[in-house]
Amino acid sequence: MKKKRTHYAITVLCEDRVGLVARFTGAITRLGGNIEDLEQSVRLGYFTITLMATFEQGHDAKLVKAELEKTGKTETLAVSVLPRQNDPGPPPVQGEPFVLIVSGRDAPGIFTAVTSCLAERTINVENLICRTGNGLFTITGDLTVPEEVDIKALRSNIMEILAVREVNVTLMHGDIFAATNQISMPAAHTGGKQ
Amino acid sequence: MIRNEDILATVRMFREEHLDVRTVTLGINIADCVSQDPTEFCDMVKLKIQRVAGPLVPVCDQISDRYGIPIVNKRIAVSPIGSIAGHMDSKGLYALGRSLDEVAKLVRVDLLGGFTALVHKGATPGEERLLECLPEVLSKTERVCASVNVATSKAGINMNALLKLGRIIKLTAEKSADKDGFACAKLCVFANMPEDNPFMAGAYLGFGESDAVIHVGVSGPGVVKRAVERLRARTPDPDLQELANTIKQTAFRVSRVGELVGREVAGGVGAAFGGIDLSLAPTPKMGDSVGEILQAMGIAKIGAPGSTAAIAMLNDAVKKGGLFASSSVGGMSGAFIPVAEDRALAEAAANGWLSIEKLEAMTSVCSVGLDMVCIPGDTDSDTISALMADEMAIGVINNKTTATRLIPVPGKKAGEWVHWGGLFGSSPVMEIRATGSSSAFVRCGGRIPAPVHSFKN
Repeated sequence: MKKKRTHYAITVLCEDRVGLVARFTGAITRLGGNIEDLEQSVRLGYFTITLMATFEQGHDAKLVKAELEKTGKTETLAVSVLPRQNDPGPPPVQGEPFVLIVSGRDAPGIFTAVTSCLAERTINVENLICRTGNGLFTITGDLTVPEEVDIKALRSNIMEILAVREVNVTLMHGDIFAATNQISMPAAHTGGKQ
Repeated sequence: MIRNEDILATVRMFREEHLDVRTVTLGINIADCVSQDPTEFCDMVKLKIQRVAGPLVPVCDQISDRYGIPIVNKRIAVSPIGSIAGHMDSKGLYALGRSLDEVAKLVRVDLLGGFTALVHKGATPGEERLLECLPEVLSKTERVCASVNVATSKAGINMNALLKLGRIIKLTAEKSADKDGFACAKLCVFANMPEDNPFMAGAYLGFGESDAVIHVGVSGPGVVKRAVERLRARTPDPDLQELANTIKQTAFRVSRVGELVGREVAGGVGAAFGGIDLSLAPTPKMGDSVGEILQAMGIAKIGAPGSTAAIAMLNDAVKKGGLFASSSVGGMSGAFIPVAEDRALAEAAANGWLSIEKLEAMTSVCSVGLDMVCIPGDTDSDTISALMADEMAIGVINNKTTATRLIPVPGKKAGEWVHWGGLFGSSPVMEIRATGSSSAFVRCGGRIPAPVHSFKN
C-alpha cells in the first residue's frame, strides 16, 4: 500500500560554512522531498535555515532528521523536523500590518518586555529582527495588530514600559513603509477599482 | 518584503529629519450658500463649513495616531469670496470675514483661505470692495487668509490692481503695527494663481473643483538635506546628476507619505482627493530649511553666485521624484524660499549675502516668489507695487506661478529684526534699493499685455 505523503517544518542550526544551503536542500531532494517555503540567514557566524517540505513517499520525521544530520557533518548541528498540516489554516490573528522599531542602549530584558506587551493585546509577531553593535541595539518587528487595539495607547504603553531605559520606540502602520519603499502604492490607498 | 535598512530609513525621516504632513487643506465650495441677505449668507456659510469640515480635525488626528505620521496643520480653503459675494457691501464683507474666522475656530482649523479676488484682467465693483476691506478683515481676524490674483500669462498684469494693492498692503501693515505688520503675512498676491494650492495664505477653492476636496502639502526639507549630506559624506564631490538623483528619490518617498495621508483623510471626511503639492516647505526649525539644503549642496553663503542654479536643480529634482510618486500633483509644487520662515535664508539676509534682487532671481526657477519678505515700514506704496510687478512679470513671462507676501514693518528700518515665532519665524528687514524711483511707471496703470507666447489657440 502506498504511504501517505508527509509534511514537515524543518529547521537546521549550525556554524556557518560555504555550501550549507546546497547540502541541506540536496538532502531533501535526495529523499524525494519538495521544498515549498524556505528562509535562510547567518547571524553572528551561525547558519540557520527554516524550510517547509513535503515528501510524497511518506518518509517519517526520524528518517528526514537522520539524513540532514548526516549531511551536516558537524558536532554543533541542531536539526528539528516537526510534522505539520498541509493546509496552514487561518492566521492566528486578523488585523492590520504594523512595524515596531525599538532602538537604543542594549540591556537585558528589553526584548521580553516588548514582546510580553504585544502578547497581552493578542498582537501577533510575524517577523522580528534584532541587531546589536557598539552597545546599541535595534529591534524591527512586523506585527499583525487586531483592529480593536488602540494604537495610540499601545504606543504609549510600550514607551512607558521602556521609559527607564535609553531607548526610542516607533510604531507605524506597515503601509507607510510599503508606500515609501515600493514603486506601487499599497492596494488600499490607490483609490482605483479593486 | 521590505528590507530592514529601508524600514529604518523611513523611520529616520520622521524621527530625525522633521518629515511631516505640513497641511491637509479641505476645499469647500460655498457658492451654494450665496444669499442676497448678508446675514443669511454668513449663517449658511457657517453651517456648511461646520457640516463639511466638522470631521476634519478628528479624522486627521485619528489618521495621525493610526499611521504614526504627524499632521501639523488642518486648514480650509473656500470658494473665492470676491467672485461669489459681488452683491455685498463693505459692511457685509466685514461680517463675512468675522463669520469665516469664527467657524474656522469652531472646527479647530488654524487658517482659512479664500478671501480672494481674481482680478488679473479687471475687477468687478464687488472685488474692488473686497480689496478695500482687506486691511480691516486681515487685522481684525485671526485665521482668515486673503489672496489676490493680479496676473496670468494669458491676461497679462493688471497694474491698476497692483497700484491699489501697494497702498492696501501698507495700510494692512499699519493696522497691525502692534504685531509688526503681521496681518500682511496673511495676504498673498499672485500671478497664475493655482486653484488647488493647500498652502496658506494663498489657498482657495477653484471653480473647477469638487464640492469638497482634500489637498495635501508635505514638508521634507530636513529629509532632503540629510539625504544630500549622506551622499556627500560617502562621496565628497558627487556628480551633480548623482546629487539630483538622490533628491529625486527622496522626493518620491516624501510625496508618497502625502499621497497616503491625503487619500485616507479624503475617505474619512467624505471628500474627493484632489492631489498633493510637492513643495518643499521649510519651517524656522533648525534642520528643516530649504536654505540648509542649498548649503548642503555646496553653496556656503546663500545668495552667492550659484544659488540660482542650485535651487533650479533642487526644484526640478523635487518635481520629478514627486510626480512619479503621486497620482495627482498640483498646487505650486516647488521649493519655497520664504525668508522669515526659513532660518538659513533669514540669516543669509541678515549677513547681507541674500538681497531682494537675488531672491527675485531665484524665484524665477523655483516656488513661489518674494515670500515672507520684511521691508522697511517707510517704503512708499508705489515701490511696493513695483516690487510686486517685477515678481508678477517673472510668473507671466515664464508661464509659472509667482507670488509675493511683503510685510512693510511699521517703524522698522533695513537690518532690524522682526520676531513672530511659530511657523512664521523671524526675519531681518531687507533693504530695497532705489526706492521711490518707479512711480512714473506703475502709476501709468492699465495692463501689461500678455506675452506673445501665451497665445496658443
